Amino acid sequence: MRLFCFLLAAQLLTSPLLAASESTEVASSSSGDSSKQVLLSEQALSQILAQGPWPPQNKIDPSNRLSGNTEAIAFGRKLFFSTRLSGDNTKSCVSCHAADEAFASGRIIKQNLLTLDRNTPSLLNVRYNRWFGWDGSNDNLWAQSMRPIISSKEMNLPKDKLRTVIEESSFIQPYRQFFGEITKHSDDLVLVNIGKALAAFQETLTTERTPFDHFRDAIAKKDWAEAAKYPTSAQRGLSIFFGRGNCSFCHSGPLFTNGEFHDAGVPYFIRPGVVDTGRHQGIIDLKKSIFTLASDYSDDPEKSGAWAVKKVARLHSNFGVFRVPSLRNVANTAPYMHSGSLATLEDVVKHYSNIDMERLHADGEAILKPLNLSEQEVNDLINFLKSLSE
Amino acid sequence: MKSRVYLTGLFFAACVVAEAVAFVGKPNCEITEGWSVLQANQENSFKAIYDLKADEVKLGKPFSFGVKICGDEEKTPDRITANAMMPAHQHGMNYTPTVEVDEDSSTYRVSDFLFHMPGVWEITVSSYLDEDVTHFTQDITIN
Repeated sequence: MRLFCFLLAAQLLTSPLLAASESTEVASSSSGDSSKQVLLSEQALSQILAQGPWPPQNKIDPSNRLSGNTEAIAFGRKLFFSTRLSGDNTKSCVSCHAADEAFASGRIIKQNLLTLDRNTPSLLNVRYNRWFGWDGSNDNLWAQSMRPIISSKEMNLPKDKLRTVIEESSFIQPYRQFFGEITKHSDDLVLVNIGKALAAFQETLTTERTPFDHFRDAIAKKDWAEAAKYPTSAQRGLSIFFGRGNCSFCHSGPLFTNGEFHDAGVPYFIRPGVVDTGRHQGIIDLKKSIFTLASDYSDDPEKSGAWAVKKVARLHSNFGVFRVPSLRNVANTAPYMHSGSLATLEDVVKHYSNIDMERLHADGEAILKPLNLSEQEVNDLINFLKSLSE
Repeated sequence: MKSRVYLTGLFFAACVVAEAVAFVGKPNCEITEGWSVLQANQENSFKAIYDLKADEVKLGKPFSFGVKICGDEEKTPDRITANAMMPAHQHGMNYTPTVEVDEDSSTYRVSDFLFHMPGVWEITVSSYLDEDVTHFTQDITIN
């Protein structure tokens, strides 16, 4: 604190940037270069620390016996890239989750060769989720990985056909290696096992450290000279993010998401007469699922993550709300929102800046309100968001 | 006569044992380390203490805590409920808490609490006895 006050006093004497924002304070600049400074309030600095460190410690998923197994990861990778997992042999997981598009919207989505009602989420850092999918209808990655395979709107490979594909392909050797004789397995168990191999591979899809992480760690070390290398525009954007934007209420923690479900003011009417009820239906599907962490398909004898599916509450406010996505790597995962209705980061920032209060739940959270950001503030927020990307 | 004395002795012994059980079952709301008072929303004879340490509650992580309810009379609540909400945002938790009785320590164990947003959360513990209900509240701030 003493150091902070000293540095603040030093900056008050020297900084020409104080006028940039009335709500910000200058924490430090020991470099002597007036163009490089830390512009944030002590409260903001404290909040920044809670957004890290990155990367987090990777833990083995106890519900998946293949988690962290190098050979199984290689098997999962082959499955992920194989079109054999689709009914017509034309689509693989990577067709929608493109490896060169941050494992988000791939070619067949962008070229409208496959039209879905929801945006294709990035799979980067997916291992850290508590809930999976925009509606959280699964509580584990292996169950979520099974869903698109058997979905008639996506890969459209029925369970009995999946068994045949595995039996009649080179996949049968690793299948036997990890799970045993397939003839002794039900169609459901074959699907679960393939889901677990796919999940083992997806656990390897994580993001690296970003400019924000260097800034955050410099603050943690009180290395103000290093912290001052973080662009001033991004710092101003960060102030809005933690301040009047209220963004950090939902985009909290190292992953920049609280992993829960909120109303972002995006219409949930898909087309006339069709509504995407989001978390409302997600919980209904979750409670009906036989593939949760509470099920016998989980390899975890402790059923350690099962409390969430047992205790998640059905609330009126679940209608039309969707999972808060991570903002890590957000610059590389366009389009945005659960519907994919916003094409650019600028569209997203302006959506929140000019949010239509009529589209929010009348009895919902009192968090979002129009920010009426200036063009510079919009750019500052965008620059901050870009600093969360590799 | 001998059997009557024997039966009387047995009766007194049973009374002593019953009193001992009653004593064990009656909670002690003396404030010891780690425990603090929950504020009652109305004047009455009940008092509640809990052992939640706010600085140990992590954003987005489930947690649990103990509650003891004490009254002047030899009565224990019929049931206890617990919940929390964010007054500033007008929403509660996304998970339904569990309240279990630990008979040995006369403590109610509250679990499956999860605060998913930073800010001020108002915890409410409600004690029901016959037709009466007493609400106890406490605000804690999560960073």
